[in-house]
Amino acid sequence: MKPDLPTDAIAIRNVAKHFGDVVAISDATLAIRDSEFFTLLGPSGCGKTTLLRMIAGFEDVTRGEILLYGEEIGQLPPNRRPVNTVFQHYALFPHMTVAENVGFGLMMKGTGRRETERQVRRMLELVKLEALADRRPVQLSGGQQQRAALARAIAPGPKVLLLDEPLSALDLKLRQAMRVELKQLQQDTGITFVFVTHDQEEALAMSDRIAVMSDGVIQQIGTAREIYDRPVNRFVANFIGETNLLDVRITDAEGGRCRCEFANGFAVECLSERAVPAGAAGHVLIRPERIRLEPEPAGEGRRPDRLAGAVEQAVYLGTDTQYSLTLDGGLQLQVRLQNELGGEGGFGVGDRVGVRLEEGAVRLLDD
Amino acid sequence: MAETAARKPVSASFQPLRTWLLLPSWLVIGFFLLVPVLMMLVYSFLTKEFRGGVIWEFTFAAYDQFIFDRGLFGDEPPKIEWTYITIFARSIIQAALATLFCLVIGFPTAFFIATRGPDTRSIWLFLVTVPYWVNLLIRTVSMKFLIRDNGPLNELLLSLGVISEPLAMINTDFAVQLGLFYSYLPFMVLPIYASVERYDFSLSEAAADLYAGRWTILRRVLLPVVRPGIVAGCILVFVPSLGAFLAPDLLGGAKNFMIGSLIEEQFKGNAGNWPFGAAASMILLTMVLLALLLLVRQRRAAEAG
Repeated sequence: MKPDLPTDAIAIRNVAKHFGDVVAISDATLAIRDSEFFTLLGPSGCGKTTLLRMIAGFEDVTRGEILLYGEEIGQLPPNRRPVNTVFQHYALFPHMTVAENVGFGLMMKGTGRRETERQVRRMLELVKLEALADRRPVQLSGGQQQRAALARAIAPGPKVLLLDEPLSALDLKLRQAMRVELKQLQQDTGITFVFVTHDQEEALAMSDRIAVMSDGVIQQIGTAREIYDRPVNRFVANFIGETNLLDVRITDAEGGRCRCEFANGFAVECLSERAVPAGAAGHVLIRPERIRLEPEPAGEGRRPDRLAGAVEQAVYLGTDTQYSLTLDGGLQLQVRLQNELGGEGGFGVGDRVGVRLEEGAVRLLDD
Repeated sequence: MAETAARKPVSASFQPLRTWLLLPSWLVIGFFLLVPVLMMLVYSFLTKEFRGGVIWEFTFAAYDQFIFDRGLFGDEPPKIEWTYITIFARSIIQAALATLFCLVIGFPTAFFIATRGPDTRSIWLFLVTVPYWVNLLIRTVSMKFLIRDNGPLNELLLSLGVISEPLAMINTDFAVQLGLFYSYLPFMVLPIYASVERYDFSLSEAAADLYAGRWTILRRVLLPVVRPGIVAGCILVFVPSLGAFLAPDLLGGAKNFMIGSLIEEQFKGNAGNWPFGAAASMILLTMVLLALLLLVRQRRAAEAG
């Protein structure tokens, strides 16, 4: 492992967290760069929130180190760590006005009254809540509470902002709007964001880099594109986006490329990150939108060098149509085709179709 | 809009039933609250009958007696009568102290219970209520035995050599305090427990996250948020302490008379003075109501500001 650069905003080194006998995080190592929008993504119970809470200082570290700009903070209480948190349910102080909430951190840091007022006004402007400064949290809508919580966390000028599923309590429209605003805010302020979510779409839309977690283990770290296009294992492939996972047998391996054979005998070139021995069994990933369908020429029979099958189900989704195919030889395949304007709209249930895989669409996975 | 429209038919269908469903509550409030208070009010303006009871003749004599001393035959120029005012003042101080002690002990207790796991919580709550299965009178008498000059507490301290002479605990203010504290502690613990249990501890985390230390979190976030529970607890301890008569009677002796005992005496046996007892009760009631009113108004002002 290469040493963490001192410019890393947060470096987590071999961190483990046990709750009694339960292992929440077994051995996490990751580096979050300065001014990065970094997302911890995973299903509930994967340890992402625990990891965030350890950075904030709400949970102590069972083993390992947490460094903030090269400085060990793993043993400091939360009030001595220059990071701030946006809580899942906002945790706004109900007995204080919005302005008092936003000013709380500044006051605790000992900022003067005038400077605090100035800063609070600036923050409220930033999140467009100037008009509601004297309201109490209960008098705000969900979206407004969210903004107030953001302003409160940013006001003291943290080095790193931690966000614990901050959008999960909002409805869909608001959530989508807030994604854009959050990303914008992050770019404007230049603060490093560490964002926790179970929503892959959210993660893909906002993050510079994503760490996918499952069962207390970091599965993969990379950009949205890397994680989507080159998932390292079945979990990541399944968790991010829609996926066809097919059992294959490796017939021929050479460097990064190899040939593999589907259960129905069809053989295809596939990409692989690692060397695999010929004859081994494995799984390949094919994204539904990397598959093309074409009408099967009449009179063509089954051929081993062609993939063909029948449409089982066609679901119109507006931008796309999602097809479920049963291939000759019994394989199931999900396909997503973009709808064309005025097009009669592809294929109907029962139609026979030829299947063409895009160049590089088939990727061999680690198990 | 849609919500109210949807809700209306439901409440409308209950409308004819509502009167009947509320009737028991109105009857209870009427018979056990309004009627007794009105009776007390009326009696306080009647003339006393020497063997207890009243003569139906209107007079301010009871209230006059409370405040003024007009000599044995009522023909001297009026002087302020300090006896009863002193008893009231002492009662207020005793009740306030009892409330303070209950708060100091009760708050951490309630906090402790509320922060236990859900299954152990109910055991702790159960333990808090256990002493209340025994009648208050018996508990107070037991207390008297415990702290009397040759009681087990003194015996223990003597045998341990902590003291060389028995401590005079019985018939002191201390004993009254102990009695009041012991009688009313759960009334402080339970409402505070209820509000701490509802307290969202992510608020404390948020405060810590925003650089607040532990005491600041307690003072600036936890206490203000659970304030309604604290206020309820204080009221529930202060009000009955003010009118208590068992503890002052049994533990305090004649020197440490409180309002409750004063009132009780007016209705006991044949020596009493019913109108005077009723007047003292009315004065007590008025004071408590005024205090509560002030509290409510202050709270509203705080919420509006």
